[in-house]
Amino acid sequence: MTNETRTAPPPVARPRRTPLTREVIETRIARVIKWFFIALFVLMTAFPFYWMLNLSVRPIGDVLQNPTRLFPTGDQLAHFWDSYASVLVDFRFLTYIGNSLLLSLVTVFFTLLLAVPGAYAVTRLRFRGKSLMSWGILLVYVFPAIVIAIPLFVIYSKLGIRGSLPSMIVLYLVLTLPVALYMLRSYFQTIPAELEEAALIDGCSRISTIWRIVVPLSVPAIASVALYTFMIAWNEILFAILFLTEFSNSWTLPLGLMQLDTQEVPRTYLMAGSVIITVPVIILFFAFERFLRRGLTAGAVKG
Amino acid sequence: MTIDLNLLELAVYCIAWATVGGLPGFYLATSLNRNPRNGARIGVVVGVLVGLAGLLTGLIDSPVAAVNAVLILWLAALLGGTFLGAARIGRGNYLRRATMRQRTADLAYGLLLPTVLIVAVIVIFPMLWNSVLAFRPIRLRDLPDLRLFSLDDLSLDNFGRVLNARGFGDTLLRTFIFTIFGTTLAIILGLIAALIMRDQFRGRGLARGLLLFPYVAPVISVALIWKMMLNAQYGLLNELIVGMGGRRTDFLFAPATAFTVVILFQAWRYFPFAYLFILARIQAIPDDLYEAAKVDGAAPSQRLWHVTLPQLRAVFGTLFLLRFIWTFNKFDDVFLLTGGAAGTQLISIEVYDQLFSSRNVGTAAAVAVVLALILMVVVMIYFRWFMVEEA
Repeated sequence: MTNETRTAPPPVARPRRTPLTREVIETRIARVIKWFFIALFVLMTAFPFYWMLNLSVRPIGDVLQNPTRLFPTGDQLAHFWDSYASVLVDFRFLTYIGNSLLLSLVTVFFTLLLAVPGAYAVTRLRFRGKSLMSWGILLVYVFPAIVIAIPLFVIYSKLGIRGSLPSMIVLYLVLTLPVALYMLRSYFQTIPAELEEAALIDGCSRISTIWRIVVPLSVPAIASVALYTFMIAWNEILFAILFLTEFSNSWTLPLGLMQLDTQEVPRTYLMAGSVIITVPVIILFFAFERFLRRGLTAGAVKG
Repeated sequence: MTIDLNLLELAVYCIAWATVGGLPGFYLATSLNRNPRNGARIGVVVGVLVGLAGLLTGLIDSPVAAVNAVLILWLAALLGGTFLGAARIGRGNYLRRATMRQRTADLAYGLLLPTVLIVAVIVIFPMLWNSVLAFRPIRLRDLPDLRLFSLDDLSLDNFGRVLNARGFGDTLLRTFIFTIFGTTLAIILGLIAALIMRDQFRGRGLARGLLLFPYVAPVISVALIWKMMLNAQYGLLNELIVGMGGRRTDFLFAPATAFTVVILFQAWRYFPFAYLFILARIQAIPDDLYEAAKVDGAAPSQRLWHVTLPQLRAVFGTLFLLRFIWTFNKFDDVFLLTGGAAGTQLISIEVYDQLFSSRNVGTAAAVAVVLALILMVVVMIYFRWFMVEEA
């Protein structure tokens, strides 16, 4: 890597003025480019969400007249609750929130119940078929949901359980379990095994070792798995569309919102609905960002 | 009422009951300090017997009755186990007699069994069965009287119909273009984002959080925002374009723009995924490398090109593979944006359309099989190419 900067004579003392080497020029250009991109990315990611909030408080008439109004008027802000109340009550969003919450929380519970012991077994215990399991997790992790949707649709229809929320939990578990197993496994690998061995020698059974040693040590990982699982279930829409569309009492929040997207429903309500569904995720995300960053790299919220 | 089953249905029925019995058998034996494998074996026999008995006596004559029978069996096992355990009746000495190795393995199976079963029932079995459905002439209206498991009516008609349908070749090609561009753009955006977020600056913490928004927000709400912003009548983008003297466009419904928009949506929504991967890798590059390059007189652009990017090769490889797989079978994003209209039809949406618009289960399954096959071939080629190059 020969370079002109090395052969260039050192600049003679001109105080307080850096010589214009390639290094300096490029650093300056890079700084400008960097700030340009920072602005661009922040605008690109944050603005749509701001716009959603904005449109959720402005009546559609105003949106049509002043499409570019960046800030809602004071009057609109004062009545911001109108559209939300309407969505929550008239469009039965309270029901959907209940459904989504129930489905998500139960999914989180069962995911943890199954994934913590499962991930422990895959990391710590020796058994035949262990590498098969590790590969299996990875494979299930990338499988196309749309491919299993048709047979499941047929079976669920035949069994007459399509449209019931409990039957959806099993489907959601398949989406969350691989992610949870994957994340927990990589976390358990970082916990030194000596601690458990000490407990085992002291006569603790494996199960109580998991419960007393491993679980307390893995609280951050378990928390982030719980949050991710919640988000996956909360955001899920493919299975909801396929299995729940004809059963409006079982609609989840995303499905309910999708059904609002028709000509007859004012756009303000649509945006209010979007805010309602997005805000919990964003709040959770910011509250636990530190935990989550790690998990995201482990590939959670597959999409 | 009697149910007549063909041989295949009987086999599936027995396998299902074997599973239903084996699972509690395993745990029951464990709780009684007996060999769980024997417990599972006994459970399998009991399960099959219960299933057959129910069938012969006519007690299990409907899916609901079957589900209830399963629940009763499991409840009985649970209560029986609790009772026997509490009364200390029938306990064995498995823990003393089994080798350490055996006990460890049995424990592992016990911990993994429910997960494996769920995956087997909800993922593996449907995947296999989907390829049988693809060969059968089944319409949505046939479902109530459908013989679930039958190999009598297999034919290639579904595939013939799907592959010869007008536009299917276009859909395939479009899905490839969509996937390749969506994936590549997302990775490029992710790389830029990772590079600018590498160094400390004021407000970086906040910016880092913001950057993940598109990825963690529910797809339905971001799709709706895009629809609003791109709307022809009151969409912000159109207003800006018209304000600058441009022409009003219905971005999501004009064939000229819709496909580009859905690709951009993919890139926008999934660049944070790439960004996180790349950032984590960039931060793991040792400073020595940069110092050495600096000493050698490498300018920033050269350090980027000769130090940073080569270090990211493996990450790019993984990212491309993962994102390719997921984008290729992506359904909800494009479905929610355009519903596959205006020249944005993808294979995954085709599966949905076959099922709900054509109301044809068989062809829907056939399209799904085509999708899975293509994906498998692509992944195999990728690995082959990757391995050869790495070697």
